[in-house]
Amino acid sequence: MSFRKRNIGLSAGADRASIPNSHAQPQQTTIKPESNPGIRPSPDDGRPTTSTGTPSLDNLLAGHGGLPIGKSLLIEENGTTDFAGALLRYYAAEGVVQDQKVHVVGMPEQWGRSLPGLIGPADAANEKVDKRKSERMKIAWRYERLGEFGAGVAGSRVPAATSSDQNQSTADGDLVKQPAFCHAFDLTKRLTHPSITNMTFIPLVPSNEPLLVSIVKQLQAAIARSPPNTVHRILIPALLNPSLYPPDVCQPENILPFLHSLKALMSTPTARITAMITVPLSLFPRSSGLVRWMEILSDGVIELCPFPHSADAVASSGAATANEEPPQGMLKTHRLPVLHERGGGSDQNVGQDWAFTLSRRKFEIKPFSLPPAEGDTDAQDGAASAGMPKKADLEF
Amino acid sequence: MPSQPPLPPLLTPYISSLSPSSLTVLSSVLGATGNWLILRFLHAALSTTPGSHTPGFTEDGDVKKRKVVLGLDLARLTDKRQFAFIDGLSELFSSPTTASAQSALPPRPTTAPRTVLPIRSQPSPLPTRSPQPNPRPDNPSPNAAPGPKEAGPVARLRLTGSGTAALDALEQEIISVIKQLKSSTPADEDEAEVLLIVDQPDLLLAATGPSKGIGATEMGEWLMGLQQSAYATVLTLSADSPLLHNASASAHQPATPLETEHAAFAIGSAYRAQMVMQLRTLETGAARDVSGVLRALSYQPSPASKSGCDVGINLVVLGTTGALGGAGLEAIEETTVDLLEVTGTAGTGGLAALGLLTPVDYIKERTWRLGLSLSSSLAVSEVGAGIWGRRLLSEVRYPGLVPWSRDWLSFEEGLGHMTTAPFNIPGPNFGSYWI
Repeated sequence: MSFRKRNIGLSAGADRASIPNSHAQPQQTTIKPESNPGIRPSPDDGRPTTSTGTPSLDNLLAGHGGLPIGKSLLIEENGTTDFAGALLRYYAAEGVVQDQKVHVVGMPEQWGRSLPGLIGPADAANEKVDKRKSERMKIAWRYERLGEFGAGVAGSRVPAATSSDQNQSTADGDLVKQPAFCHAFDLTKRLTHPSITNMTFIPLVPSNEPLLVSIVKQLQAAIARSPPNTVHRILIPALLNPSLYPPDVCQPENILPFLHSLKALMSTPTARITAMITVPLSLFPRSSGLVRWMEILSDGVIELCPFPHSADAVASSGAATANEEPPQGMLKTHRLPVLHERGGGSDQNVGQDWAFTLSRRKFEIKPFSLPPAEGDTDAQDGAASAGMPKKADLEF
Repeated sequence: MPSQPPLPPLLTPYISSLSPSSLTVLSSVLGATGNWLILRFLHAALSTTPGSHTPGFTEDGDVKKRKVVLGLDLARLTDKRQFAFIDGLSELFSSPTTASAQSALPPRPTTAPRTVLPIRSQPSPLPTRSPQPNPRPDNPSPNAAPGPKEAGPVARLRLTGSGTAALDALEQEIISVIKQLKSSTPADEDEAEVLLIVDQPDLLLAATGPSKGIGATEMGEWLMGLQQSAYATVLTLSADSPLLHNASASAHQPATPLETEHAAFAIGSAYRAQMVMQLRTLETGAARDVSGVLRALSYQPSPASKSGCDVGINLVVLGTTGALGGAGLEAIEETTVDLLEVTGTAGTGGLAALGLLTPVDYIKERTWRLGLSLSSSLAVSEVGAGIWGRRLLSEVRYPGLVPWSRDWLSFEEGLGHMTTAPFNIPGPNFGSYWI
């Protein structure tokens, strides 16, 4: 039964069949300048992006599915924990695996040898995802692709964070020939990769010119030396930390021109640079004007608020189900790399509270939800048995 | 997506009719940036009367370079000497020799211009509606539409020295570009009117500090010098709470020089401005359909108000599909505006501007405005109660303040921060209702 005229070729049907290809292919052929495995166009507006090494963080970045080239991410952390350092290590390891040039500021080479070991592509590595996927196959295998259609242009390749893992794997499954965009790493292992010796370490040594000025010059020189089309990653761990940096760095007239110059360097037309900077918030609170200016000069600002250690009991109850790991802290997004005026593509994520979990194998960001009150199981059972009407009662 | 007008009709009166020798201050916060509004100003100035010379002119403390802006080809306009861009990003603090090592551009290409405008230099930050005519070339080749080569390269600002001398050098450079624009007018026309858009000059203030002899006073004088050579000036500033309120006496911690100078500069500029447009996020957290609030406050007969009242406060709620900081076109289409007349404050325009910036007056004003918003929304609530209820509630700073009816409770469930708020039915004079 159809409203279509008979004896007419099903041209519309053919068109419909070619839709998924037609909006995926032009992006790859036109925007992607050369085959670079670590770079893919953003599904939101087509600009090239690269992975942060953490799939759930990629999904958080305003629908780009990665960190756009030329943009910087500022990660602030409260307390004395080093979750931001883990994010940095994933970011560096991803760069090493993708044969990108990694520049580390202010850390010894020892830091580079402690990068997490490679497990494999992010989608293939997670057996839990595979299990979930196979379960879903049983339920609705024939509708599986429909979700990608209905999600529109923005959702077709980069899924929402809530269903990120499954869609990620299926979306990547369509592009079998494409090399992996993001990899999974194991924090307990050490990364061994041929290009790990390619990392650049910029030490903080006093010289006759101001420290930060010399850092920018070294970065400029290192980037100018490298062949064109190299993708660079700049890592600045624990910026302003007094155990690493001299006190005069914290003056606004030093740090702000540094960040401004970094921004200028990253927006050089021919360079392809991303950067990730971490700042300890305990020493430099967000309520200070200096930190606010640093945030204004960054393209994305994320704050990590780990739960205090004594709150383990509370945190453990934060897991929605038994097999989920409890969140270890809250994550706030203060600014996302929303780069054009239509905003980002992640509108279903707006206004959610995020929690993060760092496990051996991944740093996962997921929506935070308070569990039902524990110790109230009697009431729940009672409600289920007595309060709720039975099915038979409902039938009429 | 249906095509939308580049200028939302509700905003048009405010951004397209700038009075002579006026200063417009546009304040933004971290989560609600003013990029989109700057582009609207550019569009309004450059597209109103095609052919006439209304040059726009941008000094960027932050990067905002686009080849095609809302359907305007900026490179072509640069060729026609209607637009000039001054780069305040590339070499403001870093030395030109190393910075240009990669791009192989002369540091100050005043002679032998090689490129028209490296506006496409960014990794294609272009609106999806406007297709880029040519893909981003790796070498800075001349534009596809070759204009007269004397169209001028991009002037790049560079801060050298300290104190007012450094600022004077910047000012001279900017004024020379303005003069170039003015002199390019054909002889049969009057001298062109130059709209000057200064984007985040407060970075200069923050990044230099008192140790280099640049303070709020010097910046204010610098700005005034620039204003003299332009027809109208648009200025963007950061108005984040730490930058403004830490300097006040009620702050918990002693203010740093950065904060005091920034607050002095921002508040002083707001005093002098003819119009203050304030962008901020919703104070109840991010919402899916509303990305922020824009308030325009002008001290001249507002073009939108027919009554000719001196002060008009406009509350524009922007809805958007985007996340933090994105203000959408489609959003402005469904904008709701409350135009509220303030009687009796005609003589205190400056104080009202200050009210935008200081915390105490701000809350007072909100409370007052809320009552009026509610009364004006009563008629609407019958028609589109869902959207109105939600929007207004997201506007309410204190959720227990003025709920109108029980219905509102259900509307605001999407806003996670407000679900547990108690709801009181206020008394009849809720205009003066306080939390």
